[in-house]
Amino acid sequence: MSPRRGPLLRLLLAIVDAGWWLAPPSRRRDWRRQWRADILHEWQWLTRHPRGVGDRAGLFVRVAGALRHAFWLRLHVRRLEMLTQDIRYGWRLMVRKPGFTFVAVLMLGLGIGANVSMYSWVDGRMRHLLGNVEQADRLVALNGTTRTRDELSLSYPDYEDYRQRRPASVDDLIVYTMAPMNMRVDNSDPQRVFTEMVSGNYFEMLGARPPLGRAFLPEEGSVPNRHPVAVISHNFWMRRFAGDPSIVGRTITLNSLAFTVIGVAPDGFHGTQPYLNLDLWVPLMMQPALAADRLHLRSNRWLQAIVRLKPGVRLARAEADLGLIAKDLGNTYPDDAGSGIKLFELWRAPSMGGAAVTAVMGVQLGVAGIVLLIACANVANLLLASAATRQRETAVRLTLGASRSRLVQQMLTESSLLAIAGGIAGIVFAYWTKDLARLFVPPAPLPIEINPELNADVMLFAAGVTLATAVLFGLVPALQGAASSVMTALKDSATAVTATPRRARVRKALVVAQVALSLVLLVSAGLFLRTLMNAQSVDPGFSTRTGLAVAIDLQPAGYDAVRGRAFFREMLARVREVPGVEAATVATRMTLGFSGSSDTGATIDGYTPAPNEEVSLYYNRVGSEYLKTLGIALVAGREFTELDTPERPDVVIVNETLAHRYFAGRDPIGGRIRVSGRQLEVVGVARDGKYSNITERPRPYMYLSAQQWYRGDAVLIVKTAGDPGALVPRLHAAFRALDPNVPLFDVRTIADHLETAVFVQRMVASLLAAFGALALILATVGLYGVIAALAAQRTPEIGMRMALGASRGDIVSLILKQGLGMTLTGIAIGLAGAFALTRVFKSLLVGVSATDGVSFAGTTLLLVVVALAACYLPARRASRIDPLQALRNE
Amino acid sequence: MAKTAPLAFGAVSILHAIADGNRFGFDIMDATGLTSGTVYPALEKLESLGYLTSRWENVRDARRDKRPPRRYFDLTAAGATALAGALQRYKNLKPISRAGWRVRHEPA
Repeated sequence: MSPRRGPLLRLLLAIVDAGWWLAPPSRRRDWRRQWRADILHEWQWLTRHPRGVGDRAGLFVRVAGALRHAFWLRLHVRRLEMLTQDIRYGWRLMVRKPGFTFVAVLMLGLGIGANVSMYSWVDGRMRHLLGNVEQADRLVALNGTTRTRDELSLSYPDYEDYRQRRPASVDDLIVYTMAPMNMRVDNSDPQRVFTEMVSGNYFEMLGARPPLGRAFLPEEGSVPNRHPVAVISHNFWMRRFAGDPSIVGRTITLNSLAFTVIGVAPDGFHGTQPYLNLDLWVPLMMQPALAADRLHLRSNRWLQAIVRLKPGVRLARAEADLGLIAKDLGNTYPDDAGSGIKLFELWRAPSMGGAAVTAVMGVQLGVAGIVLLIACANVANLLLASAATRQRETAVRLTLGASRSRLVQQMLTESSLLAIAGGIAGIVFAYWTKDLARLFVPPAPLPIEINPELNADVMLFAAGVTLATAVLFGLVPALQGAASSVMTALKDSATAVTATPRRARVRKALVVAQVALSLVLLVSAGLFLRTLMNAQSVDPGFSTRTGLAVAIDLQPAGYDAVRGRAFFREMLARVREVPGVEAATVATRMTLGFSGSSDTGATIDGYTPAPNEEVSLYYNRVGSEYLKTLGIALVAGREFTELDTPERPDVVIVNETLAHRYFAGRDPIGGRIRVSGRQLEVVGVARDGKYSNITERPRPYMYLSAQQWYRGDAVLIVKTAGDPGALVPRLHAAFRALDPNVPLFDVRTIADHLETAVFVQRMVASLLAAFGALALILATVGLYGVIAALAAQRTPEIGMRMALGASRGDIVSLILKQGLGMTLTGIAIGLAGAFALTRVFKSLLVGVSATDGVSFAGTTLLLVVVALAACYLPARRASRIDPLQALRNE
Repeated sequence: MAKTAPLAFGAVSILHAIADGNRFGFDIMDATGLTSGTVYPALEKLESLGYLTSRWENVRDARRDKRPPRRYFDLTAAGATALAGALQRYKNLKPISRAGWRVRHEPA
């Protein structure tokens, strides 16, 4: 070696020697050899070619890198080697115990699969809020507000003011409204299409540029009735026109008005109605040509609005800015404009489905999460049991010098392997159950699309859940296994070791947790099943159960109000003639539908509103014999007849709640209500009913005369004597005779319609019942496994007891008591949890409180019975052991 | 052969330095200006990717200099291909003639 090895060099080499411990054992020798050689070489080179004063000091900086190098080796090289080793070992274990592996993978697969499929549903729905738009995070929904309401739409004049005066925080805004229309192409039969009438900047603002053709031009969005142009959706283009590229420039007829197709929207863009796949878009400016002009009425709030914020602008800031304009408009037009605006993130915007949808999605994800937790607890228990039998192996490894952290790593690798297998199984389950999502599509006459896909997002989620799962169920057994005492493990027999009180405690705790979690699910399921039963037996306020509801729209066929009224009169006259029809009427809305509700401001003679009170009445337009057709009791007065025509005084029927609230102490018959500048005379009082949904409280409601308040769209409601299905062909025939251009759509029986009214409750109830059952099965398996293992451990003790005279019954009750103890502890915790949790979905319940005693007691009882059954099997087995055999083994 | 992610600039400059005839850790540091804590791990990584091979210096040569044998690095054919590809992207590295590159072809 070098004869001139000064103190500086020795110090440098000492640093390298110190790093020896840092480097992983397999690479230490090479690492030290390389660094020593490089340092010595550099040193010699510097001796021969001196560079300057600080040249050797600079070596220290370089040698510092040796430590970093060692550390790097420790992290990378060593871990990789260990990992492959652990994976190989873990794989061999999985293959060697196929039963264990199968059960574990099955349970994890069910848990992960539940989460992946719920997530894919939610993901599908979120994607269908708005599809394929640019920077959706900058889009927010805008609603008008008054003192008491915050979900109002906008009028077109309001929109123009907001857009022209938009503050610096707002990039742009659009308005739109959905309009079903009848479409014909080259003399084809009329086809119902779902369109949106949109402001001219719609596509540009959303960033959905048509790949074929073009979007609307500025003049198409600003000059009324001049530009009959349409953009069609990619989906509709494919479906209806087979992707024919010559579509641009073709003429289609919408509601008997000729439109030119100017473009095809990008694939994946489906418009601005949540969960709907729209077919085409036309400029709002064409609205007056298609129906009565609504563009110029400031009081007519019929448009939904979306705002694009400037980059980096917060919602609250834009809300404040736009609020100033709203206030100003409210001052300028005190009668027509609202007093303020409110912005919503799209996912919670009322126009996008709002809080109810979010609540259901929350329930879905929460429930799936609980199932996964139970599955994890179960597999953790299995692993603990297998760790017990592997205790000797662990002890031997520890004695031979394995570090405890190394053992933890190895066991975590094993659980990751299980989790990955479970994750794959979960994805397979999710794929199988993909189509079940269709069962959860509300049965409404709309092109609803909830399309769960196993896309990249969902796969990423699945990977995340799998990883989390591995840690969740792997960590406790791994730490437990590595913490075992070497001496006892090597000395004692396998069965004795299992009985270490700490491990048994952990396993019992896991079972308790499972019981608690499944009770939470079961209680929730119980609440929703009761809700469903209640909802089905709720009196909707009408008694007719056999009949039909059929949607008709005269507007597309080119009827004006005079011809329309005549059509409806003629139609009702003919339908009432059809054999089997007991009564028939028309209404703008079928009660308890998914189509929302209308309300209007009103003043009631003789009623003085309190300060700040707005009298706002929900209403429906109905024809003659409406109450008779639906079987709604008439409390006082009369119902509408064919004689309540526009030429006669305006009349109105009110419900009991309205009569009580606004005509307290007076006879409502003959009372007067003013709506939209018209004075209505109350001619009848009808029984209360449910109008929008089955969960609503009684509210004031009035029926306007459909003849006096004409609209071209209506639902024909028919009460039949027997099976309404037989009537459908006869109805079609009657309509063809009346006018072949008026199609019937959405024909459904009243019984089916009533089913849709409890749709949300049914959906949540079936979801919870399915997951509750899954949770119960998993928890039962877990309980059985632990009780069986504990009983097996107690074999010598049981043998002793029997030898000393214990009867079989004594042994059974001994084991049962142990199981019952765990179950009851779990139930106590679960009840507390359920008590706290069920309040969350209070708003979805019907006729049961969130702390409903029957649901709580019933599910608790169910759980106890199932738990006893799960414990009875091992208890019976324990009572059958031969005491001699048991004692001999000891 | 399936390629991993494109090489970072540091790794490319190391391959470049080795192709240019710098074969030992400290020489590579001088040629690239990178610190030792970067160069050594990067060498390990490039070797595991198959772009470099390393050998220990002939003991007799080292003895002559009165020091232990050093570990020196050679570009493999795969490394040369990767470097050539990367040089297309990093145009500010000194262009060196590919004919002059020291590439070690593994006997196999």
